[in-house]
Amino acid sequence: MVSVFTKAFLLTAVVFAAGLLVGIWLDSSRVQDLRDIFEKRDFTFNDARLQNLFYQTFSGDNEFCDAAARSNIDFSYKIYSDGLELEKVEKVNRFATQLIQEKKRYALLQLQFWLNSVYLKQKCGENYTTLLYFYSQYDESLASDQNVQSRVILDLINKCGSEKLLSAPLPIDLDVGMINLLKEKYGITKAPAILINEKVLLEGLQSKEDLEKLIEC
Amino acid sequence: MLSFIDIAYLFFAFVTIFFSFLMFVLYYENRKNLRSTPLMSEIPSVSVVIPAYNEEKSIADTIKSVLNFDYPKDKLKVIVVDHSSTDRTGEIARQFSGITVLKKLREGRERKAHALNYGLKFADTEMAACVDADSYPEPDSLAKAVAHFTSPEVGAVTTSIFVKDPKNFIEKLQNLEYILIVWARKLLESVGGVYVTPGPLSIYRLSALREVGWFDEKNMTEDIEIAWRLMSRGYLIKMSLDSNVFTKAPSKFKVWWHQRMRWNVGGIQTSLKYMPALFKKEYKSLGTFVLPFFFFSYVISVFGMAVFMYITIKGAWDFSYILFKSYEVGASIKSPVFFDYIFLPSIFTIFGIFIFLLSLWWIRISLKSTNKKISGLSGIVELLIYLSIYITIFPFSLLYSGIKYIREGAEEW
Repeated sequence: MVSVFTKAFLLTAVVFAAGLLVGIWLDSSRVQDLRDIFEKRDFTFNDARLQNLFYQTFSGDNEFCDAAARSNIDFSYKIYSDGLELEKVEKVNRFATQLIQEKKRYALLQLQFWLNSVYLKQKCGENYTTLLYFYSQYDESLASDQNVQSRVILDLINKCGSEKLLSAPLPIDLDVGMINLLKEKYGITKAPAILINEKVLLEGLQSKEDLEKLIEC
Repeated sequence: MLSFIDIAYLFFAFVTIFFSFLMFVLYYENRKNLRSTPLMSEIPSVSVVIPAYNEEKSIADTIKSVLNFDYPKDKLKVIVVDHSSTDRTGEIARQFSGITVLKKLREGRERKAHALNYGLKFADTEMAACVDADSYPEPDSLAKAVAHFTSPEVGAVTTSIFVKDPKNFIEKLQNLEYILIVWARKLLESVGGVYVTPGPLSIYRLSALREVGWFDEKNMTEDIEIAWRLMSRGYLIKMSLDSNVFTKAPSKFKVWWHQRMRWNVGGIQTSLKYMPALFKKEYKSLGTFVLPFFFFSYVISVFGMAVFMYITIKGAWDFSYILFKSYEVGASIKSPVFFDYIFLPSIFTIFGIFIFLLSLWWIRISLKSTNKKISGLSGIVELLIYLSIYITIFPFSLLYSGIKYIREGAEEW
């Protein structure tokens, strides 16, 4: 004769396991959605690069610059909305460890955008500021400062316009080769850190006022 | 990845689901017998003892209810113990004929058990029914309860206690709580888990009371302590679901809080007294179910509250820090986008919704089984407040009681 306690325990175990499985499935499907979005974004970027190459090869510089600037800004809008989606998934997901892999892929998209922006600035003389924002993915003690810093940057983008201030957030502790290279090149030691126009490095929480002095809107 | 808080949440979810399922299993296994009242082969004599201290407003109605019992008058004796009231309690009681009114002097801070034990000295019957002086048993409640003394092992029988005329919000919340307790107590009967013989109406086998040494006069919750003592001596405690008693419940938060503190301190006092019986089979269900259940619920409550406080305080601290820093560095203030996340189904929402639905289902069964109803918008509000706020206060009152008990002991109450 099975006791009521054993029956209750078995029922709980079944329901709990089912709940966990549903939770894991939901987490995984959200990560899969992100993966699909980022793959689409990779395609968009490569397509834009080919178009640029086409303009460079068959048209004049002016035509190339206009088209490249447009597609670059368009790309930035898309990866910004992807970032918001990623942020939401990060908040609710508990099980899917593959999320970190997607975070790395997102960082690569941001790096592609930044490098393209720098290239266009040099090649076409585009008049905008590029800003790299380095943050820590894992250090919980920095979460509040980073929250404030990202809002300062967002305020500046809203003020200047996303065509005049091109920013890319990058996690410094996700072991992405390109980010490690940047850290080494610019001597970045801690988060939050901001690199403006590939020249000025600011470490620690920066005020809006101080950043405004360095950014041309 | 899962954080400590996530693991704590999952642990609470597991425990909550387990206890909910335990009650459902008990219900489905016993549902045919829950309302049945055994047939009595012979009617035992009963002394009804009513301890009263300054109960001039209610004592007359309590005595009337008791005198109205559908029980052979030659088998019924009514004893009112006036515990040195400073109002007209004794005078009102003495106006009734056919009852014994005793006056027991309080020399210090003697509690209800002191009056009960005194009244029980005058009981010369087979059973003793203890009735609070602000409670009103229904006429058939005694006979139905006494019928549950089906064997000599049954030491006591408890009854269904409901709030008398719940009018304001706090009384209605307590009424819902009492309904759920009544129902849970009935279900726990089958695993020997009736852990209290409440004051509004409980019936004891007098020989059993004599054997275990009467009520503990030093204990703050003599109704819990006596139940545990009876269980520890191998007696069974039954629950008569059809014996209805109505009792006055606090109508103000302050009084309610004080009552809960007293119950909690009494519970802690009793738990500590019987701690040696924990997990010991020779103490029957007291050692194997009631005590583990009590200790587990203490740990869960305090641990749960600590986690809740940690999340709340950390959240408030982080939010304040962000506000301060935002002001300092000139960032705009953005309100937290709660709704962006709450509607994304996750492991937390899955278990949260499941537990909520399970609670609603449980309340529905409890209401149906006790022939009670909650209706209209006010009933829904009542239910939601009960589930979201009312039960959340318990861990706080438990912790506060624990601190008070450590600092002051039980003597100050």
